Amino acid sequence: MVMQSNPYDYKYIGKDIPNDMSRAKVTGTLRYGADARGSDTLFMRIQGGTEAHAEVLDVDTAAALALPGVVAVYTHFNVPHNYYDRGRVFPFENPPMQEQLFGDRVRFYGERIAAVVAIRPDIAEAACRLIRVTYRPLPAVFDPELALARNAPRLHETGNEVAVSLSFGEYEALAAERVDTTVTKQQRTTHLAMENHCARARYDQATQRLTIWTACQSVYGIRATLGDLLGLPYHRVQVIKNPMGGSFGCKQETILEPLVAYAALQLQADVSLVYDRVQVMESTMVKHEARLRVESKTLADGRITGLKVDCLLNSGAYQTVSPAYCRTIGSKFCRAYIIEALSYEGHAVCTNTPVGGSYRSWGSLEEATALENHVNYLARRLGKDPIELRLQQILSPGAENPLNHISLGNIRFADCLRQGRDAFDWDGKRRVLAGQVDGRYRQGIGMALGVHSNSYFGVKPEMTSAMLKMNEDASVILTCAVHDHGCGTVLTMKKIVAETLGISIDHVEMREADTDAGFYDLGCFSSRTVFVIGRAVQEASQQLMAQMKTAAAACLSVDEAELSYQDGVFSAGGRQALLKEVVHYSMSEQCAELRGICHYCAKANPGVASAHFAQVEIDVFTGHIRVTDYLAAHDIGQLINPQLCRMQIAGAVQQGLGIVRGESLVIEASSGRMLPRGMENYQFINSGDMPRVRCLFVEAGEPQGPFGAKSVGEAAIIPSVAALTAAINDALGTDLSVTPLNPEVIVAACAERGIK
Amino acid sequence: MKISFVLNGEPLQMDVQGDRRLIDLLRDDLRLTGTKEGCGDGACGACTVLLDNVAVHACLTLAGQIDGCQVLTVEGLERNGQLDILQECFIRHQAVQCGYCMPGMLMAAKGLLLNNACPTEADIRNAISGNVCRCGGYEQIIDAIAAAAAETAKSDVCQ
Repeated sequence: MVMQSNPYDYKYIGKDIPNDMSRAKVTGTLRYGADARGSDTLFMRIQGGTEAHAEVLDVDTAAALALPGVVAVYTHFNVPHNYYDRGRVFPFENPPMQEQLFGDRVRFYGERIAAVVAIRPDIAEAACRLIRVTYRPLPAVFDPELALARNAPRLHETGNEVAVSLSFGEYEALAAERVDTTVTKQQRTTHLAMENHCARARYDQATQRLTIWTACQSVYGIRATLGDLLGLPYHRVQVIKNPMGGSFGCKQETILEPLVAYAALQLQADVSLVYDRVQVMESTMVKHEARLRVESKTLADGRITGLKVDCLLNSGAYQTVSPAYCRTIGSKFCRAYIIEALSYEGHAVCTNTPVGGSYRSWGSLEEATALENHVNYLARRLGKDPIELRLQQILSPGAENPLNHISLGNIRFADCLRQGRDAFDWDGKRRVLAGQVDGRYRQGIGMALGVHSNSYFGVKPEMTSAMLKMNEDASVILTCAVHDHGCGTVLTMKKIVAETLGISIDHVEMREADTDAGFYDLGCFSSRTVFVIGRAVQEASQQLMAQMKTAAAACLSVDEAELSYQDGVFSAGGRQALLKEVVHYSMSEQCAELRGICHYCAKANPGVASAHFAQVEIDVFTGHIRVTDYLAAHDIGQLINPQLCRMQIAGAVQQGLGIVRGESLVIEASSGRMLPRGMENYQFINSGDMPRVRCLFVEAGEPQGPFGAKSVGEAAIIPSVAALTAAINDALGTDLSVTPLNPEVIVAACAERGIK
Repeated sequence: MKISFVLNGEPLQMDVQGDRRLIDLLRDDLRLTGTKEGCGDGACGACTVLLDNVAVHACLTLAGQIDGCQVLTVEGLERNGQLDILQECFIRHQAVQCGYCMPGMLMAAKGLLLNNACPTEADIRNAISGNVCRCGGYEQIIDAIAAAAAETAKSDVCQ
């Protein structure tokens, strides 16, 4: 691991300590959603449909209801039909609103048709199998290109497509030495968070309040959705974030919560729902299938003057977040290279397939894979080194995003490229590989750039808050709306508090997002957690520190300027006051509780740059791809949790490698079923296939981030697919740009080029 | 059927349906929820437990199969308040992110070390190849298991 030296002498920031709740996680004592239940909890299970597109004429629930232990069965025919949207985050926005608890049509195979509530989970499952559905089948369409045709089966009255366009400059008017076109296709995959989706709701008759426990990313988004759907004022709905066993975007949207909330309200009871893996893969959300055509105009030296991009996004059966996703992909094409014009057309198209949804980096992976495949194609065509080609046209620190004129801040493309090139020994590897003898095993190297955001500034009102109170014994409780996905954001917040207050991290406690505690927050996505919430936590800590100083000065009868402070002890003129004594004095003598409250509205959205470098070895006989070296260079501002950041990056590369090598969900043409049905034949990357990932961190600081920190978790996946694809193309002399590059594809590509 | 087995060192007798999955017996009947369910078809490893010191998937093992056996789950790793060396090394090497794979990962590692005191990196990768960690790329887990093995051997047995 290569790292720039840390110029600050921090006690916690940038220092490795184990993740929050580590002991509870290794002893199995941490209760995730599926582990927790009350003595009177009822269990909901869902029956999915077996048609890709059909009217639901009747659902016979008599046999299910007759099963002893069954409490209720819900279908389209006995629930309200109002609409909601799973992607709603900010209450004052207008999302597509296409979903209902249960519709009178199913639009993809596996879509929910009935919910059974029973006293035991196995009874609910057995009852689901007794439900009989009468359908009137409708023509189905699985391919988004076919779904655009005029006579294609129509999924929604408003049509199958939502079109978006974005542009700046005059692309068509640009002069160019050459015009090149590439088409990048990305397949449908599953996020594969190890914890399956679950949610629990309890309606309390005494308080007339509904409480939801869910491993989610936006407690306030869920509260607004449920409150409006069920006709409950928001103060009668409490949403509490549960421990989360991974998300990667799949727990960002409101999917199971409406079902348990409705049942809990109807039954005045406590209702828990856990999906199995097939349900998660098929009927929560998938990573979008996407086809991006990129056309560039370039000058003789390879500099790109403009881009024209067409994006076809398979929304699946309901639009939900897809139109916004499609627009977001387009907005990301001008954050890396100096270009004069962008012309982007996006089409989010409904088909009778599982719903596409939020995935780690929200479109940056789709954008970067298409753009970086294109730049690597240009480098091969021009005979240029791909790093040199990029260095001559990357954006510099302080550059603006030309679409919204927001500064990219202290973005460090050149550092990632140059330091990454050296650490990877790019030039040395190139020299060695130039002399490679053709044989069964072909080596290749490749690289790609990535860029990502740090907040919602420019898109949504970027507000959050943090509250700190110092207890009577000088321990501290932090309240902020953090939703830790498992990656360590709770630890990050505790570190920020402990570092700022100069106290032991063991004296800092915090609760995660809970709508009854603290103030409004958008949620933990858009890579805003550290940069925005972390900054609010830092400012609240600074306020508390200022109050501690004022109280300590009064306690010691000195001016604040005379105080010195270290590790929880104030000193002045040879006298000392422990923090506990300061709290005692403040509460007893000044009637004042020591606290810090920060309402923060971020006015910045800097970029984070990254460059990934991959070396692969391909067995041209079997098509097997082995990664022999991988280096990820990340512009992170300031490291807070080095080891956890390395893990985030390696985990992201693992997902990217899975996309490249074979993770794929396909639709069976005859039935519309998603295949494979479960994890067993899903080609994820296991410990045997996963290389060690070398990480290089550029710590150049970002003024508005806490201690200068920026994001990494989403950013880490962005260049991975294009870097690996480039290495494969380098090894085989190909221009492949359609994933997955599974063994069949590689063997066919070799055969086409006479490689054997 | 009536079954007798030893669970985390405690002898137990139960009257269960022979085809009840071990994972349901553990999680629902005995409320030992440390063992996680991630896939239900033996592909993710989150439900790994030891059956007579051999790692098995609790989602593919039926109650009838544990009759007369020793069953060890993640709850049985800690003894008298003392963490197992594997648990300590997982914490020390910061191999913990979301934590959902941890119980299964630890039990697969425990099964390895009980049968191979001096595993190579390839042995370790092989032993946990059926356990998916989606957060962190396996490296810290592999290093933690190697450290636990080295510490358990505590001498040059493995040289």
